[in-house]
Amino acid sequence: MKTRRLIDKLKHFFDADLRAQQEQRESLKEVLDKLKSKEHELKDRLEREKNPEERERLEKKITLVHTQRKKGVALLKEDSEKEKP
Amino acid sequence: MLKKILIPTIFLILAYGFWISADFKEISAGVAIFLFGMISLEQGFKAFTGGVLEKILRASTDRLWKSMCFGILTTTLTQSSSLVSVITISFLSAGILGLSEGVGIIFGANLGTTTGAWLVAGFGMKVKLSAYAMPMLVFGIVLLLQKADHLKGLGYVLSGIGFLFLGIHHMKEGFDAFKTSIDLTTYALPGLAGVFVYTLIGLIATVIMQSSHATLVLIITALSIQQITYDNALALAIGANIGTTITALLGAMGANIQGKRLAGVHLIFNITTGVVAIFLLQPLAQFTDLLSQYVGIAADNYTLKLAMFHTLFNLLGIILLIPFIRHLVELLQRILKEEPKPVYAAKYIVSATVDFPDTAVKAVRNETLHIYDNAREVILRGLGLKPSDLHRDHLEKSLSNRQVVPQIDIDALYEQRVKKILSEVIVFISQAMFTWKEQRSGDISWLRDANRNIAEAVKATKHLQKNMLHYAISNNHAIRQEYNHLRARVAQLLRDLEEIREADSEDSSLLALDELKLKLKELESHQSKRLYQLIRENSITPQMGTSLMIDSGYVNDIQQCLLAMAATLFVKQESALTNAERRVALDDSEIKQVLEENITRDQTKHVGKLLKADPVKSKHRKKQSLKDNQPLQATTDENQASD
Repeated sequence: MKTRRLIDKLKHFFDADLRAQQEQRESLKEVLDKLKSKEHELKDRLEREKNPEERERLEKKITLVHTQRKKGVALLKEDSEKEKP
Repeated sequence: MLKKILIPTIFLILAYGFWISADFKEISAGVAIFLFGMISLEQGFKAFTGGVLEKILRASTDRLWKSMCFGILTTTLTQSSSLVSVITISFLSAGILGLSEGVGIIFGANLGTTTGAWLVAGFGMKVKLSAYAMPMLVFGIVLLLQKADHLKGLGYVLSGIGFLFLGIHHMKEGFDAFKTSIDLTTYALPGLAGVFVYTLIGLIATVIMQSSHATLVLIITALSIQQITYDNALALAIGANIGTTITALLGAMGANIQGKRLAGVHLIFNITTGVVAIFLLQPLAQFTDLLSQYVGIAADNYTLKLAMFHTLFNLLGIILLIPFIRHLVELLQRILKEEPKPVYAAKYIVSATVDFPDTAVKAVRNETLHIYDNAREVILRGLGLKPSDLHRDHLEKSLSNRQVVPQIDIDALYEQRVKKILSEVIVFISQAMFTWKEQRSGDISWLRDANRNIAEAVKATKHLQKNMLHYAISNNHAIRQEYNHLRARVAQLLRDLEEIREADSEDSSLLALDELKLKLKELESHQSKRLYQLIRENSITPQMGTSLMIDSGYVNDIQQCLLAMAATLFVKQESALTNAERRVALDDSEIKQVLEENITRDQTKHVGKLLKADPVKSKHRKKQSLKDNQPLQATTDENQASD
């Protein structure tokens, strides 16, 4: 098992393309995490908000962030499929 | 003239030396291999670190002590004070680093470089280095043949160390054989004369080899087999320390005034330290003996004692000069005065930075921001606005009260304030593109696009200007209002972009720009809706309507260009995240989709409210409401079709 992990690590070190792909996926995940927490935060604020104008603004923001998230998830799925041998 | 005869003279002396002595040939070959190792090591660190050194430098040099520690550490690790000083000069030139911090790094590098003498004296003279050199060379060369940059860099580092070891080995072998045929100690000079002569020899040798490290290794090797006396070795080390400034001076030739000032500090530090060391040679030597005894270095271990002396006199220099750093900086600012530059010229891009990808990217970014600042003024003036209008509340209202729109020659202003700097940036980028790794070229290509976007925004303003000047003071209230609305839209975007520029990293992320895109799309949609309404109501003539439609397109162009520019220039996070965000950011059609979703939701809400208020009339009102909102939907569809 240890040898296998060592070989994987070596492969990772020597295969620049693989490393770049993994880094790209990690960054995408990080961006999606940020968007998710932003959407939750906006939804919380919307629940508390009474002012109709401010509510409208928040709703617009939520739709936007949600669309961004949807796009990001699709991209992540696409990347994962590409990486499969 | 001197330059022309210097190289042939050196060649002649070397050739004569090789002819009369095979040992001299071996020593010289050792020095050559050692120097090649240094070059290889430097090359390796440049490629291997991939900008890490520059990133650390940027993060850890806000205080003097931090700058000094950075200088000590990096020079110890890379064993090249030249690399560290040249990077520092390039940073200064790019405006990333202040002169005082730069001075700290140079001071630290001077101390860090003395660790090389310790390594060679303590390790290199005791171990058979050639045994280590061979495997390193083999592994290094195999790695050098790899495609990946980091492996190639590692290959350079390994083969560099291998060559360094091999060089030291040949120097040792050469001196060992030399000892049997000639005794250099007969040329030893006692007293002050000896100190001056050997300091000069050390200085000249370092200037020729451009590496104090190589000179010191040569001194240590010669000292280890008693080919030179300890006293003369100390003087040689002082000379090498002064001579090493040549690399920084050469590096500063391509730098701007800040870089030149730093090279000046380097020169002053090393000369002062050298002069103090010459005059305090005896007390310093005695102190070295005392300290060596204290740390357990044998009295006859002259090589380690030389390393100790080297460290001590550099430390003394730092202690002596630290209190005067501010005065030193002021003095250099007085001596090396900045030449008055034309007001609208490039500020940050200088040839010294082109070899360091991260620094050069930063320099181009700063310069592009500079261009944007100039272009923003051109755009505002082109629209008949003043820079102060950018921060005015209720701008549209204030514009409608103005009876005169100041007219400027936007072409002349563009030539003077934007195009000249832009051309310099393009020349710099084209030089850099040939020398850099692909990854960094990616960054630079985004910046190139940002520059193009700025230029296009100015050009679109020019197209807008003609009708705007005509209609913004028209007697027709409706068309005047619409054109003032267009002007205010551009000004509002410039203001929003300023806010994003000043914001912290989260609010200035690329995805936050999508919100701005949506807002602009809404405004565009409303204006389109109004346009048709105004024509229907005969408030404006069809000709006016056509002009307004075309000019609205120019405003959209300005907005698109500025947003694309902002996505590159105002985003403050690491490039991997930015690339991911670039993929997630919504394109025009996706923004339109979000807008439509918002419109549908608003309509549903509106109808819901009506139903609640009066259920009897609701059916009729629902139909009417949907009918009222039809043009807005149609406008969005039209725009989509025109795209």
